[in-house]
Amino acid sequence: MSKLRFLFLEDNSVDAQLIIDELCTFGFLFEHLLVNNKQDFLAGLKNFNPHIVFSNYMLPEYDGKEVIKEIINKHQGIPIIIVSASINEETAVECMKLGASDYILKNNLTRLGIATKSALEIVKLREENRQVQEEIKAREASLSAIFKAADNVSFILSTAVGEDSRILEFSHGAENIFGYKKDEIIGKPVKILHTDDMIENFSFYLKEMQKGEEGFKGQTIMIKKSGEEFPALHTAYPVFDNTGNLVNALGVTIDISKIIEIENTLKDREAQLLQSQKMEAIGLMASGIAHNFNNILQVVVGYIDFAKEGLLETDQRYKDIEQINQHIKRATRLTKSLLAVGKEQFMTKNDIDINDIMKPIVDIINRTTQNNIKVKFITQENLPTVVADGSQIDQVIMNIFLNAKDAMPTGGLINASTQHVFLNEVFCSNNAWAKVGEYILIRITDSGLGMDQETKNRIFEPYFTTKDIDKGTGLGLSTAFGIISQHNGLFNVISETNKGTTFEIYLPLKVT
Amino acid sequence: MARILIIDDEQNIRDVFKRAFENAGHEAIVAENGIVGQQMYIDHKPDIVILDIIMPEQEGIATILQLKAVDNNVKIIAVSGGGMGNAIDYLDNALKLGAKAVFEKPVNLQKLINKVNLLLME
Repeated sequence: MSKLRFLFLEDNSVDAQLIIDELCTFGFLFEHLLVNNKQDFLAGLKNFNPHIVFSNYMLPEYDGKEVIKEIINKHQGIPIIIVSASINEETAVECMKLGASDYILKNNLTRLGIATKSALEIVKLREENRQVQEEIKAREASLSAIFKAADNVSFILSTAVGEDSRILEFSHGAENIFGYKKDEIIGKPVKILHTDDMIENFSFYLKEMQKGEEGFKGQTIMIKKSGEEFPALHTAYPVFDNTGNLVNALGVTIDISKIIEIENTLKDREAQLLQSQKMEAIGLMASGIAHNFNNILQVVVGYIDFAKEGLLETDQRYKDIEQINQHIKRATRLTKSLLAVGKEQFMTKNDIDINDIMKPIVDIINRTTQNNIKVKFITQENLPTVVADGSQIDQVIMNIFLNAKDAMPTGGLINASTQHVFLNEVFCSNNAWAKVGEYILIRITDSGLGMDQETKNRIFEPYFTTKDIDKGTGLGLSTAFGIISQHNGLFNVISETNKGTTFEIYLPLKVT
Repeated sequence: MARILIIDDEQNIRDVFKRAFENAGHEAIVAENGIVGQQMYIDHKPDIVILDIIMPEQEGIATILQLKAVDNNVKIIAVSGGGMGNAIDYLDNALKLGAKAVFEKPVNLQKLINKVNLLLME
């Protein structure tokens, strides 16, 4: 520790020495400068830069008060002790009021040491305090700058008392995110920023913070001034005083609605990409299968012709072979639709006369001699065409006929019809499944087992089946429903247990 | 009575076409790919070529060009089973490159034979 520097302003050198001795005895290690006039004193203050000044009160050109004022005004931080012969309580008080650290009597220097020590300590403390204050200011300035710069991050300081916590501070970022101005929200309850779900748990989070944990940390919904709810990343940090008590909570919040939007868009795109990749893969596979299938069908077609050689059209054998031919034609249409999948056209739509599809199927079922099933088919003259994928409609109708057949294990009658109909508003308001428009109605009614309400509600479910394990995959009706939907058509089922089932398919005439 | 060259990589289809044409009173020779087919064209000078568009080794479209290089007036009927890309486009290309007719498999044999007879009259 460097030596102290004491400056003495005293015109009596004997007195000065006494003072110096006293201080030495007390234990101070110091350099000293003794001056006896104003000029030297001022120079000494400047150049000697004392830690403390000892001054006589009564000096020729100078009185103590002036000296004190000089120091207080221009050299704050240097304590001054008046050491004087005369005693005058008023004067002493005045000196102290002006800023002197102490007033010591020359004939009683015993207090000098202690007074000096006190004065120097006060200076030290003042200096430390000043440093601390400066540090605090610097820190505050940094924090301020951080909070200001983070204008997309909300910092909200609130009391930590649970539901009634109030907002103490509201950063620039908080203003930006929530829409409140600092002045209008300080003092308000912090819960106005939160949803009811969150508020319900305030007491739980309070307990967590009291333990020293973060109150809430994660994704939640918060509320802006406008009332708009938004997704947020939010953390509540506990703030303790120096006795370890929880006093405040610091909430740090980021609005992540943009991020979530982007996330969702990405997810959608990914799903779309995956879907189109799947479709492409399916398409390729379908194409490959179709190719091979067509080659096989070609051979079969050839042998069908050869098998017919030498037969009359009336021969049963000829008729049987013709049945094979009809089914081969259907298989051909199916492979064409497989190729359509490969071409990204899920349907190849053409102008179709529904009867061109109905009649061959009716024919096939009637010619099948097992099961004693008979189909009675009624239609009207000049049935208008619809725009549809022939092979898909074929699939649907075949599927329904097969279901009708299975519903009549001991045989029975199927009534089938096609007609041109118009569904009006009245009809549609009474039938939830219906939509206003012009349609070709395909109706297929069996006299079979019928369905109960529960079964009826489930028939379009994929994989739902009432058949035995090896008799049906349950895909038929759900696929059929999908196909009719894609055509903007309607599907209606009327059925009751033991009263038979009617399937109605409406295919729209106009393509919008 | 004409000589028909059938180029298809499937044995069964070669057999079926051959028998069909023979039943219709023609002579039919077969080749299992475009390279063999091209040679057979040179050796036997058939009146009509039935050509499968999608085959390994020399692809059908390339074969059309090869045959035309041998004889620009060659009468080719292109057929295709589709798949492996885009059947319709292939058949379109076949027409553009000079095939006289195109058919999608499975082709109705009677229609094929009728077409052959028509082309023979040109």
